[in-house]
Amino acid sequence: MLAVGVVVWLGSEFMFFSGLFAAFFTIRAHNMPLWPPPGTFPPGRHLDTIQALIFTFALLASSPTFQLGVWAQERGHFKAARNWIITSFVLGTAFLANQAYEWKTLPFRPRTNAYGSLFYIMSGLHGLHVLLGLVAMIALLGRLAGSIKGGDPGETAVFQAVSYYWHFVDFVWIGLFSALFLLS
Amino acid sequence: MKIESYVLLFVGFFFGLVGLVYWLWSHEDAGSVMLLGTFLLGSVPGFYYLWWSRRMRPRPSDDPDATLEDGAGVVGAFPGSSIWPFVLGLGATFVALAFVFGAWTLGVGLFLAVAALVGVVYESRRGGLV
Repeated sequence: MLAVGVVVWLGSEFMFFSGLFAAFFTIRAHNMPLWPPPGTFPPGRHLDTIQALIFTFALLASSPTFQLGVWAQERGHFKAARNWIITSFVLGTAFLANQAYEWKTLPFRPRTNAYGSLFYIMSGLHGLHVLLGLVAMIALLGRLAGSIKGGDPGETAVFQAVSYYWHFVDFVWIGLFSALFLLS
Repeated sequence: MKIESYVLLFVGFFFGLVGLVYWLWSHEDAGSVMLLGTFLLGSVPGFYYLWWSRRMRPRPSDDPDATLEDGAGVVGAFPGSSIWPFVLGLGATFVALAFVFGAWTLGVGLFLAVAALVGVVYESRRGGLV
């Protein structure tokens, strides 16, 4: 039943991100056709879409690897499950590290203009979700350590629930990437 | 479980339809995205319930001929009353306030949030107030 509850919660999370998207498109519509607003970027600079795309693929790749981990856990292949979850963890961390680098090097701040506020709040709240997912993965790895040593059969429902959450985080990023990078 | 899934799927279907009409009529992004989100709010849990209802054992509440005795027994494991969700909410509030008042509320907020997380985990493991 845990997984059912998580899916209901993810339904409400869709609404949460919808609110952010709605704010984004409203402010964008008010500023069109100048988006991002003039003065956001110094002349000749723009968002590094290619770099973001590479790490987008890293994040998207972590979804199948996580799913393989869940399937391995279901079948009792705990070592394989551990390796898959570590792979997903590394991919997720790479994505988050790139976001931290991006934030550090971007020429605008949240207080620059509404575009800056939107960019930081949207990517930041998504980054927070990724971070929570990574913390959950560490908890799963702790659980798997007990399974590998023997004695802990593991709770498959917990693995499934975290995997739903992780797929959701990846799915939302496709929308966020399209809005923040491709529409800018 | 089928009834629940139909209710949610109706929500998804309704807002999907409204969203489609809205988009074709106005070509406006913000509202269309909200309606798309509402479509997902209904349809994602709805389809999941439908999928789940095929895998689970039928509950007594799904059977029109069930008796009261069929529903007897353990319903599920639920957490007891706890102060930690409140502390966690307080911590989250302080973290969010850091956007307005600066980094010092972030420290307070993170401390409260971590204390609450540790508290809630230990409480569920050991039981009773921690």
